[in-house]
Amino acid sequence: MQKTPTAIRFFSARRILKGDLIPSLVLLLPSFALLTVFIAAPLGYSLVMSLFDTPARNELVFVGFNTYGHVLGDPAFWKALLIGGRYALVIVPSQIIIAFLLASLATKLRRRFGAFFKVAVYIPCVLSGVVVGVIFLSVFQEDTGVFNAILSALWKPFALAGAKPFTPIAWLSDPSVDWLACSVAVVWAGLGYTTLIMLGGLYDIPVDYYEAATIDGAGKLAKLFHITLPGLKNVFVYVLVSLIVSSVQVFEIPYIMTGKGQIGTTMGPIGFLFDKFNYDINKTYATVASIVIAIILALLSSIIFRVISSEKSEA
Amino acid sequence: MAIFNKLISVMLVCAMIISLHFDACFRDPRTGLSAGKEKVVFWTPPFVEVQTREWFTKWTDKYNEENDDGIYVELNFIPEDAWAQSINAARADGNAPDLVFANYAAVPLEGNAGYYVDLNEYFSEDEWSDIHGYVENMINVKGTRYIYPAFVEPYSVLYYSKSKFAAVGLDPEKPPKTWDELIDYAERLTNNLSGSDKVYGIQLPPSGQLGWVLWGFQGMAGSELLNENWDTPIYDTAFNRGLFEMFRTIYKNGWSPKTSAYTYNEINQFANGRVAMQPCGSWGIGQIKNGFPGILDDVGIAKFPTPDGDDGVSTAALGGWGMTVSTDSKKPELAVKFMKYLLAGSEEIMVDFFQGLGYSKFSGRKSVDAVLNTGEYAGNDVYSQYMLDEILPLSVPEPCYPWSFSDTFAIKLQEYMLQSGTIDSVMASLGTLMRAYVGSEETAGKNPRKA
Repeated sequence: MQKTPTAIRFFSARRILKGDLIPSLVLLLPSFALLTVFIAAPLGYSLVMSLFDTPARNELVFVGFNTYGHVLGDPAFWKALLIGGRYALVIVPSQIIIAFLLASLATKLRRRFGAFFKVAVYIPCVLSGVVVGVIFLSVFQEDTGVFNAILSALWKPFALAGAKPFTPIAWLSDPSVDWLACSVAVVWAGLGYTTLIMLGGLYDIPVDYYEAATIDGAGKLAKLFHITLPGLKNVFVYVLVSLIVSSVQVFEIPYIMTGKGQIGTTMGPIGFLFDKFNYDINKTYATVASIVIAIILALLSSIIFRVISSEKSEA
Repeated sequence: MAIFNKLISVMLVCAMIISLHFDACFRDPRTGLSAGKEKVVFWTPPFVEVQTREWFTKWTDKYNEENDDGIYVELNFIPEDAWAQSINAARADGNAPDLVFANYAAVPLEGNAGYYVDLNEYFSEDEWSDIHGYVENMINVKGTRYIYPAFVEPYSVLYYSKSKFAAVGLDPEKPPKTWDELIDYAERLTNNLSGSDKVYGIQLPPSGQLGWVLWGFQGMAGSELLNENWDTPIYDTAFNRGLFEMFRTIYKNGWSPKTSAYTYNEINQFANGRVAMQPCGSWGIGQIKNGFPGILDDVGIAKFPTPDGDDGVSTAALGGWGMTVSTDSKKPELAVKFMKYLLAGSEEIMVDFFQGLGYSKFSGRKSVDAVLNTGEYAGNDVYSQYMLDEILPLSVPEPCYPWSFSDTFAIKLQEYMLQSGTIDSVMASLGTLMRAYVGSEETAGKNPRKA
């Protein structure tokens, strides 16, 4: 007997009459409406407006892809993207490694202390970026900051042994380190969320695997590389993609801590857009730059998904 | 019972929602604006000096109490770091405030782009004749006037500590006149002043404001960063190379603090004794008089040094602010009524402003100056008279080209200061960026001040 195609089966009269299609659509409607109104429609409008210039109020001039050419030819745009990439190079591995270690530790802690530990790790996530920026602004102050005070204390034995005295580091104004200081703050702020995701992934690995491995005589390292890490592959894919995208787009924390940085070294792509929107009379440039950034990030995400595929996604 | 409790809860929630709705509809929670008055919304930055905010509040409240124009003015202080995105968001919404306190430099391009009303519709030529010529040059955009001036304020002025000069063997009555002298003084002051806290020779302008602070050097440079037709950047000059070298020398040798908790607008680093010299705007002396009166006798002011000490060269840009009417305003004629009351009316109101700020800013109106420059007010103020006689006359208007050029110039100056690249490579990359902006911002032929 020939099978009816899936789409026809889905929209069959019987299925509609049976009553679960219409309620499904009704329940999905608010989400679709919100997505349409706040994401799809503005995105579509932006794409259309990116083909026009606005040299004056209420004046639209069709320029086609001219503005795209300006954006792609702007050294400042590529510099901002590279700075975003540099943030990702530091923030992504740091967060993944530290979150994995914290999550592993959390699985071994007893109930009450484990609960306290998880809350303590997660608390920075509930703080707004502005608050985090203000906290680390004082932590990294050159003369009065806690960080330099700790480094100074750690250096004291060496200074007493005859080494040069510790010179406070200008974490927030030295372009060679200001982006590092911002990265530390961003890692601290996002660690809790990544840790919880990792923790969920660890709990998802059946305990039987570890028991079987123990029976077979596998050591801790063998369990780590042959059970834990493969079991977390899907989690790693999600964390990797979301962290890369969010790290490239980091903005609030560096902005509060350093502005744009003394020579723009902390200003990633979003800071670049923010600047362009604020100070350019013609807003098309910022619109086009935001579209180009979105395309670049989407391409990057799809490459990651293709390179790191999982058995479950292929099933 | 459970149903009864749920019913009570629902009724209470509905009552709350309804009462909030009525409250929002019929009462202005902040001011008690009564029915029958037309609201005029006025936005201004709060400025550093509390006296400015007090002045705005005092005269706005007085106007609201006493006017019989049927107008209620809602005064809003929008923080400076939120100003750009607030005004842009309001304009994008078609809902910009009726009145906007604006900086002269920003107005020509924004006015020509259609954001401000031409005030010639509301002011007669007789009223405009009260404006000083050097201010008229800034506000007149080929016959159109988008802004009514409130005040002007030259920058930079060099503030220095006479006692610190004397302590290291420098003559307190002879401030530096050349760049070489400035560097020499900065070195001697940094290396020879002793005390429990380190004192630096000079405070270089912090990075956040350098983009517009450097406008103060364009008069010395003899040109802006773009030619008159705005199609060719002017950047790689002997003057600019010298400027870059001066900043780098001072920074690399540690004669200026590497960071500052204060902006260029604030005289605090100097007033707190952390630095012996600080370039700041004319408003700095007002901040000292109001906030640090104890050090006033020790304060010397001077023109900012020039490359070779030439006295006839401009050493400052002429900044300042005034009031504009947004084209979004549904009632521009009412907005102008308040503008005329506050800025163009009784001299008493403006004299109160300048007096409160220690005569550190200057009027755009001849009639106000006629009252101000008498013995009762600023006539005997040595600091004010020095700036009026020596600095203001040679000050040049702030440039009005797009911000990207100024910002990029400042970033490249800082790159040269902070890093180890050569001046040739920095100038080359500066040129690449500026030429890119001429293309992307399509500036050629768009200078609103070009004859």
